[in-house]
Amino acid sequence: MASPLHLKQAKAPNAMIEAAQEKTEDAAGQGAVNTRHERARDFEEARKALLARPGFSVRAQIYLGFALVFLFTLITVIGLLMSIYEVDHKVRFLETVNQYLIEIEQARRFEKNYFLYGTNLKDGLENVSSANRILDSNKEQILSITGENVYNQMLSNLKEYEVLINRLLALGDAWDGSEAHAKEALTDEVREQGQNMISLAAELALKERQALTKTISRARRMHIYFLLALLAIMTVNSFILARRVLDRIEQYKTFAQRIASGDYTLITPKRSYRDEFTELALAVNQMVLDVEAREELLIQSHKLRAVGTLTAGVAHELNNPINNIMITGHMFLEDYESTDDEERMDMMNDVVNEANRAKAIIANLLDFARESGSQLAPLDVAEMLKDTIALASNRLKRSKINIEFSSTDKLPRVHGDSQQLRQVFLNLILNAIDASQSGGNITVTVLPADEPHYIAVKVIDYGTGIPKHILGSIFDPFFTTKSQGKGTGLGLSMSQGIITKHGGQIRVFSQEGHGTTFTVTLPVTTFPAKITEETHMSPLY
Amino acid sequence: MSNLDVLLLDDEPIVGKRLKPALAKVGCEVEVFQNPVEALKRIDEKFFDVVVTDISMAEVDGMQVLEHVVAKNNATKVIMITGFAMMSLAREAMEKGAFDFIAKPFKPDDLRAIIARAAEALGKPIAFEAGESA
Amino acid sequence: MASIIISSDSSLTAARIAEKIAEKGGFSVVNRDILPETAQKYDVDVAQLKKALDKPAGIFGMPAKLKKQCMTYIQAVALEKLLPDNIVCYGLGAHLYAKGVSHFFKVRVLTRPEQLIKELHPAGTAPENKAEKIIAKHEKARNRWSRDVFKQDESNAGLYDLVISLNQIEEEEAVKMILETAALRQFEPMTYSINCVKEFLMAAQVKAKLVERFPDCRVRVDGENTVIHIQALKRNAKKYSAVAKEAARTVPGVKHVEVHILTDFIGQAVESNR
Repeated sequence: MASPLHLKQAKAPNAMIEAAQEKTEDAAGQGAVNTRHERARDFEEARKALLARPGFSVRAQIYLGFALVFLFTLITVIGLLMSIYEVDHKVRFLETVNQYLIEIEQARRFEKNYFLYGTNLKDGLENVSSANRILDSNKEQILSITGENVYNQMLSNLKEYEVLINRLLALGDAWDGSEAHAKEALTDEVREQGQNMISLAAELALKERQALTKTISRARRMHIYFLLALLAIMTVNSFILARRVLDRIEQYKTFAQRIASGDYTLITPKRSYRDEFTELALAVNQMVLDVEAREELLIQSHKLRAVGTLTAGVAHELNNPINNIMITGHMFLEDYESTDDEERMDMMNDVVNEANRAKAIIANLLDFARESGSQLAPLDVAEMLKDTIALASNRLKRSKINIEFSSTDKLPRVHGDSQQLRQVFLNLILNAIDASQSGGNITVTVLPADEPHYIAVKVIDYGTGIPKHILGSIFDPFFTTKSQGKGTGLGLSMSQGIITKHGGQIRVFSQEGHGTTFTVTLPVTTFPAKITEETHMSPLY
Repeated sequence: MSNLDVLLLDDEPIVGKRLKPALAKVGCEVEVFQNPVEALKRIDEKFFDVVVTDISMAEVDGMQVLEHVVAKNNATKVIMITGFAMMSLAREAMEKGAFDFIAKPFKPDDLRAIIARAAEALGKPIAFEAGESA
Repeated sequence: MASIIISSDSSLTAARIAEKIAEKGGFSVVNRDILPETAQKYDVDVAQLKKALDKPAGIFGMPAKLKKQCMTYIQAVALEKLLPDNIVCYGLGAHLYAKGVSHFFKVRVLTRPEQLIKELHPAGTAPENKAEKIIAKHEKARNRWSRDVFKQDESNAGLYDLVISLNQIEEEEAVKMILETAALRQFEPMTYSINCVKEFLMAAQVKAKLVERFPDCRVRVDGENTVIHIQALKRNAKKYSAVAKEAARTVPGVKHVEVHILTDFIGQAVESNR
């Protein structure tokens, strides 16, 4: 009588589960592809942006620096060579002027002797012609320094002197009369002319000597300036280069730290040019992508391990409904003739119910084991905890551990990834089971946290507690106290990662001999329930 | 031919519900329990030829039932049924004096065959030809 | 009564101990005498079967695939012989594949080094330093042998219920100890453990049908279900699945067959990168 109703009731949840599963699986395939595509697209974008910058490599900067130094040195060397040439030129000129002066002075000495003793004035003429020759043969040199006017004046002075001496000679030895008088006048003229010539040459020499000193001191200053300038150039270049390289290294250090802390934002260009570090950025981006993929695998494999410890239990748990179906089925066949309709209906109802029970067990497990990315949704933490406890119920039963669950009514929801959070809770519960003795208790509570807008999940065991000296390292990756092959040492470290991503915290309080409390705080969702992100999951196989 | 007194203990209600008539058909007087504590109480009151017990149960598990039965009367044949069959558990059960150990899921005939062997060993054969099933 | 499986670092010692156990405890012996039957049943050479039991696979030794085949055939026949209880079995590597059966009492007997040298070295004796080397080499080869098909180290004491070193214990004493322990109640056969052997046997028989075509296949029998795992590329999945099902059905007693194709990830990756 009540049987048809039963059947219907039994069927309903069945269909629901199916529908739910189909839905999630559908979204799953797409979601996984989407997000992976998205990441690949981000990567491609970052790559393009990085490569689009104009190139200015460190190598180019080094080359440029060296080229600059070389160019500067070259200019300075040319300058120095030029001043050396100038000095040489001037020294030569001075020599010429000196020779000229010597000749003139010699001529004047003859001239003086002639006036005093009337001796060989003709020899003076020789000196004059040698002076003339000197001027003549160094004409260009002299011209280049003194200019034409001075040269011509010197030349004309010399000529005039020669003329005067010749006139003096023509007058002969007459020392009296009008001739003597003329001679007197001529003598003065010769003297004056000689004087002029010497003073002109001496002046010229003095001027040139001063110029020479100036050139030499300029060359000396040039040396010092050059050194200073070289130092400045090299310092500036080294500074720029070093800052550029070191800044980048510093930047990559922060990248490394950022990546290590689990932030997998890709590197995007920050500078206006592209260099070797751009290549590095590309490589790092690639690495980030790979690490991400690998981490996903790791999380997945860790999850599967957790599932593994559960499946052993679940497989066995399945044996009960299957056994019920088997026994009922066999008895149905055996006693078909002798049973009435009502009895048969009851038997088949049992079979359907047990099949559903088996399905629910598997669905729960599959739900957890399914590969997932992030599927963000507003979540009822209490509901999630109940599911998770159900998942672990076998382990609990086998270890004869009693679990108490309590939650405050009407808790706000949290925004997050239900699979990841369930993994964290499962992890904590399994850890608590491992820490408890047979017959022990575990308390799981969810309540508003002390801080506003947060809720806290507490998983409390009354087991051995965590020794103080290892309390600091329990969240470290690969840290485990379980024997080899039993634990990966990743559970807590990954749990922490997951909770941090959700904007929450895991804290531990442990007293040796009294037990351990893990507290997970999560921010509550502040906006109305709405699924914000496309699901991203794919079925396990 | 006297009836064989069988106590069947499993926290799964369907096991008792279906196996009671199945065993009755081969001449067993079956008492079914879902609660191990009540079962133990009954065992203290009455002698059973055969005790069939599940292993994983809350409060008291099948091993404890086995120990209790063996301590009380060595003649009772204890048959363990479990969904958690594994070598260590099987050996433990045998060491503690179980007559046989069978993994879930099993067919009613599997259990009948074992009970028939137990009855044979007790000298109270029942109407079941063993060997017709695996 | 339990069945006893003897493993030793020396095949001669295993044989001696097993024969004594059979004689004193009334056990029947299963040893390499089953090889001719195996060879006939699966159409291979007895010499090859022997080689598979003794030598690790390698470039110069037996091809790994052939070795897998031979070991599967031996396994299928040996498990059949192990179905009744009261058996003492040695020389067939049974300690590596008859696992998780509660009435198989597994014993490892460690020979005295002098004894081992006598067997290994043609001259019968060897200088001490050389002896150590010979033994080490022998152990390494055995280790490789047990690893390359069964992925286990047979010298791992955890595989056994009892490990006896003959260093300080006479063989007679050892035999007595083994018999006494084997008589303990926990090694009694029961429905569950006998079913386990039946399932192992059927799995081995099914695998024997598949191993030539699918050397890496895994077969598990669970009640009336036979579950086969095969590695293959996705595109071959359907075809191989059908082939495997067909082959498995030829084994008597097989009812439901389930074939799971494990996607060959590496192969897949190679393909997709092309």
